[in-house]
Amino acid sequence: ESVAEACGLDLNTRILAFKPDAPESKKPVDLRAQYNRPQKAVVSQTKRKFATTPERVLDAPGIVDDYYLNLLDWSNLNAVAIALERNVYVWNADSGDVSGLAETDESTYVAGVKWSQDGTFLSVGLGNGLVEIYDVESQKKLRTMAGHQSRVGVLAWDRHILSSGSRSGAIHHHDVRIAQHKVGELLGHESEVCGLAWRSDGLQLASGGNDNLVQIWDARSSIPKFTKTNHTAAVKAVAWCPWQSNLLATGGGTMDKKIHFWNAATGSRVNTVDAGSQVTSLTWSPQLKEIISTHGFPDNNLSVWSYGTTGVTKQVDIPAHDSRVLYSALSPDGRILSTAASDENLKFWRVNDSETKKRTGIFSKAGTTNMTIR
Amino acid sequence: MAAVPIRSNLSLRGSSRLISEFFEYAVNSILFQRGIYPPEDFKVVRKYGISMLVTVDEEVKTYIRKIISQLHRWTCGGKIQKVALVITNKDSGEDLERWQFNVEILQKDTPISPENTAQDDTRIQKEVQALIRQITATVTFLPQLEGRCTFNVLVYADRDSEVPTDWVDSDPRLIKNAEQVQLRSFSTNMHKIDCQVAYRFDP
Amino acid sequence: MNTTAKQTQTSIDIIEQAKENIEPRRQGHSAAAISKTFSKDHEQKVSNQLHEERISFEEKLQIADREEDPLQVWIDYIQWTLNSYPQGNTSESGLLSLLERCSQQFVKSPIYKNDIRYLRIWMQYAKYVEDPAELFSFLSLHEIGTNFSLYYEEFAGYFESNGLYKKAEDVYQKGFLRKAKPFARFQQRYDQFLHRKVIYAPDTITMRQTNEYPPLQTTFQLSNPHQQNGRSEV
Repeated sequence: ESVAEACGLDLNTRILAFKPDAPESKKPVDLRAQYNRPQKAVVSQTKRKFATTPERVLDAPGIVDDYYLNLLDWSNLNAVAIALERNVYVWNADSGDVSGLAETDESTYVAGVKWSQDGTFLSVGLGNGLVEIYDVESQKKLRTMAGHQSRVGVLAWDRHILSSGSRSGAIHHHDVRIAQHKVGELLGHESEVCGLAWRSDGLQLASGGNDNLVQIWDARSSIPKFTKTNHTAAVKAVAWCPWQSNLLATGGGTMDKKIHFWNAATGSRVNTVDAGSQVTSLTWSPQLKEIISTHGFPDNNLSVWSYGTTGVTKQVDIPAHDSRVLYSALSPDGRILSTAASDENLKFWRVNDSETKKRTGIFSKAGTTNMTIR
Repeated sequence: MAAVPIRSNLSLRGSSRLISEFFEYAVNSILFQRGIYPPEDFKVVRKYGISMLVTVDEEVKTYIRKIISQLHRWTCGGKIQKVALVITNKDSGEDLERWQFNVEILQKDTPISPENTAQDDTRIQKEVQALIRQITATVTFLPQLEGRCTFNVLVYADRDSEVPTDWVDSDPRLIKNAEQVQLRSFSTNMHKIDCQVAYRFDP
Repeated sequence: MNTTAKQTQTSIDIIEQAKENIEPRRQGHSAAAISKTFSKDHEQKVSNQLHEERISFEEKLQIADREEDPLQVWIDYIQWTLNSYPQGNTSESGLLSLLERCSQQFVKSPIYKNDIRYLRIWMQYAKYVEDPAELFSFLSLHEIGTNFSLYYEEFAGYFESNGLYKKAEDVYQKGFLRKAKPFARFQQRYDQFLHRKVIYAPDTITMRQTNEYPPLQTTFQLSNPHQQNGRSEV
């Protein structure tokens, strides 16, 4: 009796076990899946050359190591915004100058940054749920928009509409021109929204969340047009194809590692690849039929995939950082990808080296010495 | 456990079916995720509005079916209190991980409607989705199971339950010095299910 | 939940919210510890608490050699790091450098050469080095952990996961010569290896497919692959 009581057992209860043994597994655990760190850059048989070392490295001390945040963006005016804890710095890629644009008060931190499409404004999402907008030229905060109950880690612009995703799962649309800025609310996600992207024509919005869902919304609707449940981990990487407007790519987190490609008109899945690591961002090349993925656990790599009628094929794996590559942004000319990781480095990779008249000015200030963003 | 009023039998039956079905999917999910059987033994099906993995191995399928159909009988009779899935290292015989589902019969005198309404169904589906998502998320902290592992299903049933011959009395097989994690619950109009996992953490 | 009344329960909610920030580890994580870590948001993390705890560990390390078991001081520090930084090695967590310092610290200490805890530190460190094979050779050269099944399992596992079944087999053979302990476990791991080999790499099977005790290789001697590849340090 005392044993039963010690186990908290009701004397009116019997514990029964199904006696037959479970069937034997016909196959043993495949150990090959266990150590899969790429040792060197792996390049497929292709004519295209890939730069497997960064063109430039900047120090980014104190960058927060959090998958759910979006702390790096590159503007149409060739300025790179990066958030380090409570500060936002802007690095002018033409001149190489760095300036501090924003600093939060001590009770919070920067959770998301995103340039407006023309590059004149920077939106900043905070840990306390506020969204701020800065004018880059005057370096002044223009407005602060309240509404979210929890941190805002992801932002997306469609002209004067700024959409913000929060830890609560809510997405708000703000019309930044008017006082009553909140013009829409999307309540489709059950958990933190960490991926958000407007299609370039502004007709559709794609979102991804910690509830493992991808949702596609028509512009003026507050009911998702499609809800895709294929990912089995959070979805942060969400990217619309610049040369095929209905094509959307999404990448899943640690337990998923898949990149899915969707036809956003029909909601059908048109392709899937297993990326082998947590997917942290996806970037389509504007000029080439390629998409670049960045990764966290376990490989911390950068991969380039060709996307064509024959399918999606990996072109190269580049061991990019010593720790997770959490944030990435493409230069306005589409040729340089910047990546930031918790190894506190901001690196610049030439992802398209075809000839061009105007090259992105990350070499304007010559020299190979590292510099620190402060 | 008080006898269940006859007028809610219909409701109990419908709810029991939901619960049994949930157990079947939950067991399949755990076996897949914990690598008790190789991933190629599973296929994706759509259930609860999400993608679920179920075994295609006939032997495993039959084994689970046998367990679930008995669980279903007990659930219909209101006889079941807990279901546990215990994962054991075959070589050492050591119990490594234990998933427990508590089954609570909600003592509503008269359910408003004998069957779940469409609204209930939506809510239940959302709750089950959330629970399955949490089961998936446990992989982030559970230790990788090494060596050959197998599983057993235990049931805490009322003493007066009818017991088929392939079910035998067992000790609870609790994991010693375990880390315990509580997951979400879901409820139908008649039952509330909550879930927890206990595992050995040896740093 | 009275069956488990005496054990503390951690709610999964906080862990689930941060699930993508948890590095998958073979040994898993303490749910209680990481839940506590993630219950603080970033603004609190910047605060002094972690910094102070770290300083306190560093101070203990300074005087660790006065302790009867200095390794345990390191182990506590490493475990604190793992619990406080579920993301694993970052500039902030300094996990890699801590593992490196600890593993280097006792290379020459005879008392830890065959201490499983010390080997486990090396195995955690192995995850981060560019060429784990080199590290295993280094351990072999210094006779660190080479009595344990774990050493051979991990070394062979590294080869196996790279598809090098022949090399993995060679490692197991060395383990047999050493009578790696616990031997029953070693034997099981070897059997499981053979089973995988049959299934995943049948073409590598040359002679033995059964679980027989392999023939002793009398000509075998502890080679020094470390010198072969011309590097003097791990």
